[in-house]
Amino acid sequence: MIQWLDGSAAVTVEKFGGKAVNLNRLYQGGWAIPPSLGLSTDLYRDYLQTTGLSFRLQLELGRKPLTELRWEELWDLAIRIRTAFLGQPFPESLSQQLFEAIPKAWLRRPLVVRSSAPQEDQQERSFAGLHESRVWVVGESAVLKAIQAVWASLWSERALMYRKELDLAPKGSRMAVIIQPVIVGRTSGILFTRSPNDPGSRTIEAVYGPNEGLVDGSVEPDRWHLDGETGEILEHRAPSNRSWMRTDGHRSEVLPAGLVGRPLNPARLKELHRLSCQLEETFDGPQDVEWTLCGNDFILLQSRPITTPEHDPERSWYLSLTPSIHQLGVLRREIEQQLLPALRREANDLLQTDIVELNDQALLEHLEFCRIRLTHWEQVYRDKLIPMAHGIRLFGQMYNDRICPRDSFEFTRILRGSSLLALKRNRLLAQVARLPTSRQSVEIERLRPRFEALGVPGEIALPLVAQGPDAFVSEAGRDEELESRFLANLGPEEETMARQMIDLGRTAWRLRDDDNLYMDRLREPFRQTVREMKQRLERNPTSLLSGVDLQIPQLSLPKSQFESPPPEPVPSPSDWGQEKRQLVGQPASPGVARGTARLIHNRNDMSRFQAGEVLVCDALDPTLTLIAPLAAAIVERRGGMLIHGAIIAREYGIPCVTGIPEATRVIRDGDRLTVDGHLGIVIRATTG
Amino acid sequence: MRETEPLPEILRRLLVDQSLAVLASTGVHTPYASLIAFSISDDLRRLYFATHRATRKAANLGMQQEVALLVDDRKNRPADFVEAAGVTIRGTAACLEGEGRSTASNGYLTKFPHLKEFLASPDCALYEVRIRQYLLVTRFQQVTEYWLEPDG
Repeated sequence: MIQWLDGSAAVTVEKFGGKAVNLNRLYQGGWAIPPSLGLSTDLYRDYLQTTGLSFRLQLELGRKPLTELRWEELWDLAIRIRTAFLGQPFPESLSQQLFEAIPKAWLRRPLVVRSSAPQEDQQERSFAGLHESRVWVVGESAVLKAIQAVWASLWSERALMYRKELDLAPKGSRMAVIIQPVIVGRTSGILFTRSPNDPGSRTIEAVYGPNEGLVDGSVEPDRWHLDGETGEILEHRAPSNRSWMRTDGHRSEVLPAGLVGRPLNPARLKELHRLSCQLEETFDGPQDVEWTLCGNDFILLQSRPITTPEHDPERSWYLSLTPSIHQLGVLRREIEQQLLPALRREANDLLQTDIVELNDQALLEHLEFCRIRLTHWEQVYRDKLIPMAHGIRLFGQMYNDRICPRDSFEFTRILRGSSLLALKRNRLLAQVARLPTSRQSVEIERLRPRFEALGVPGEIALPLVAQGPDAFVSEAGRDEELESRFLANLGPEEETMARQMIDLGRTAWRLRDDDNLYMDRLREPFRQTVREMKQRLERNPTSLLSGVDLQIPQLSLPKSQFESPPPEPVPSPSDWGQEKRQLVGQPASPGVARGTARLIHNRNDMSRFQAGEVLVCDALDPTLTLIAPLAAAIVERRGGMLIHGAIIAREYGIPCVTGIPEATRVIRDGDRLTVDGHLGIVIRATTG
Repeated sequence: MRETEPLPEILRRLLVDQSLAVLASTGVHTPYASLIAFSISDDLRRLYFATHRATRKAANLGMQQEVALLVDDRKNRPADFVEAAGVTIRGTAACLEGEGRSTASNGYLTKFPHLKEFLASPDCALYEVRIRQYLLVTRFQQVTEYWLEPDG
């Protein structure tokens, strides 16, 4: 089950994965590679069987057809599986075998633990970056945790997106692992023996120190294009700011003494050109090679085939939603300092236009302008604001890796209480609800500008506050004790890092709500203009306003193959009755509640909502979050822990189940519901 | 059951090896059958299963505690008619709380470690069936009754 990749024994793709086979070939070909120990797929299989994880996997993957999962739900699934892997004690029988094979001296130095799945690094498709590798792993327990994390990454959300091609199924799933000592040269990099966009040239990227920062995108490299035939330098691009990843895993803009200028000289580039020719011959095709330069020798860390990237905008977009910590920091500044103020300004400017005074032609032009601006901001939302949500995931992963909690989303108790705009708005509403009924309407009128700035039309506010102060659930608040316990678990350096991650996570959490409110505010001038046009059309149906498209632009995300429409119900014989009794979704906020279902399709339904009812909706839009503090529980068609509804539910500590495709079709007003936010199920009471 | 007569191995095997049983409960004047995951105590006198408190079977058990269960090892093959064995269990079900629940949970999770999260939900009930009688069926029609307690 465990063997050296030194050419001494047969290494097959099936047992040791594509990466291990390639390393073994490099060794056999005479190139320098780090000493590498391969852990076969049998060890993974035994781990699943000994720990009972194979059952757990089947339960998790069997909750719902994968074709019905939205991208947020894929992440939730991946994080639950990862927590299950990391939460298992490593069986002693297996760890014993492992530590008999690993040289004792290795356990005192940093190691790298790499994935080597049988499906990756193949000639046809490389699946690069789907699975995890851990660097700077020191000591026995860290090695075991790293192996578990690498095994769990067989089920990463990225891998789940490629599950068909990977033939990913609980039965027969396989993952091998490679353990190597970390070797850090003066310079490291990646060599593409054929440039992805120009097969006639080669691309070389290089950074000072280790190449982790280059691989995760946080360190910008020097980049060269060489002529594929002659090796002549065609182009060199220096980074805007030369930085490096320190050996403690932190990015630094202060280079160590003696490291100045370009990390590779022309002679080294020539060597890499010659290496390219040899590798292409050995592997019979272009390769993507990670290397580090130690003394005068290039040490090859891994080699994988370059395969033609598929043109799939949907997957490319989903895969881009994972910026590094450094990139998130940059993004956060851009969002907070530029984008949101500009978005707020633009909405206010548009609302300044007195549309009643505009003639029909000017009104048409105003509508078109609103449409163009809205479409522009929807694009910004897609490209900048959605990726920011990854800050929540990054902290979640750090917390789960360290604590291994039973609830994979326990970490959100540390993030909540971040002064979301929706909560500030709802506090204002609860404040008015505490006034005597006779004063409420006057107060709402007085506060109308503030309410409207926060997306609450006055006519919606009044019936809600009329339900009295007791109708409003108070916020759950931040779990300071949990945060202290988590931080107390860390060493000083880790604590600094963790505090940064918490800060970033809280910002991402808050922005996930606030940006929705700002976007909704920008839709208001469009809605007002449409209302005005409809009134004019009633008065004069043949005006030039007739036939105009009055649909509000919707956020256009790539059409998801992962989010199939809910399955049509199988028709029963006409004389059969059919009722869905128990609906399975995703647990999005823990707790159990019982109550009467109230379906809310749009803001016009909101006045019917009574405190203590279960809010059932397609998607909790910013206006609908107004009634969240009145709800006993929330049930939503869209799925995922990161959707707006789930975040609001966690802020109020309300049970929430998301990702029930047929929620609004099957559940009816007045149904008695039990919502179990721990298990992610909704049970409809029936008689008989 | 006479204490001197050993239980047939097949009975123990069915109760220990099988994971699922059919539970028969009684609703308002109507019988109701459902599939449950069960574990059994070492002395074969107590059976445990978990269900959500909002399910129909939990509602039935709130009204009528008398239950019957069926455990069998059929494989949906012609040979089942002679090779499959089944046991009908009759007894009284009670929802466990407090320490009793916590002790029984440990045994239940030993058999079903992957149901840990399910059992941890506050709305998940763990039932104990105090077994009164086994009816073991082998070789198609060979039926043996085992009494643990006199029929109430």
